[in-house]
Amino acid sequence: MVSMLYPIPEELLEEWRREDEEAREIRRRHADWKFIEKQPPKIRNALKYYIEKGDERMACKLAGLSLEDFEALRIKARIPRVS
Amino acid sequence: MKSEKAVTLVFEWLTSDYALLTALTPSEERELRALLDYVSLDPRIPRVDEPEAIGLVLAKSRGLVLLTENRGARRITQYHPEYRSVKVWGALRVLAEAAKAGVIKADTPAAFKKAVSEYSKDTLHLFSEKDLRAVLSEYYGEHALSHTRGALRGVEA
Repeated sequence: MVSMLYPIPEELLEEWRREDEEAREIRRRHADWKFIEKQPPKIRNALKYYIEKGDERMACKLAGLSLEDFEALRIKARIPRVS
Repeated sequence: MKSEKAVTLVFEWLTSDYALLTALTPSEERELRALLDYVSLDPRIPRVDEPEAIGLVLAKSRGLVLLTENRGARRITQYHPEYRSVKVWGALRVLAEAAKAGVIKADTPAAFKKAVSEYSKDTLHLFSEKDLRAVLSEYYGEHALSHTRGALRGVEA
């Protein structure tokens, strides 16, 4: 099979990997884990997913919340958005 | 949108023609489908959902600036030849533009850092030192970089 994907320089991929790992660490470190563990399973898992992936839209879907409501929840859980 | 403040602001913008609700043209629709197909096949970038993809297509075809924090959308513009020309601004650059336009008072690098820090505290949004340095340098000049020491990650500072 021939790849139809555009090439990405290895240095850029490495930079993205570093950014993602740094952001994940910051989210983990700042999160209010007591608050997160007290949440119902769906919400708890969505918050943990957000901490690991930083993907807010998918986390909203997992939590069954709108973006606006998830954003309020993220702030209550002290999980920073990192960019 | 649920927040009354946000709804009121959008209505004000629409009423005063500051904002516009628009539909995609048929060619933009085709481009959107092609972009969504492409991103679904590229595992090297974070997911790009339809709202961000629409933003990318509109920004490209109409010469607009795309406002997003979405990593997938931002990364597409770093390597995809068709989207390299798209300008993407995140919150940090919006704050810098607001300062430049005098919407927020931040005449000096220190004042800008303070504004960023306040924004970060309100929204729990942290920025990388690299981005902060780039924005300070672009908007306040090279000398502003001496002000970034200890400014990493907004509320972490």
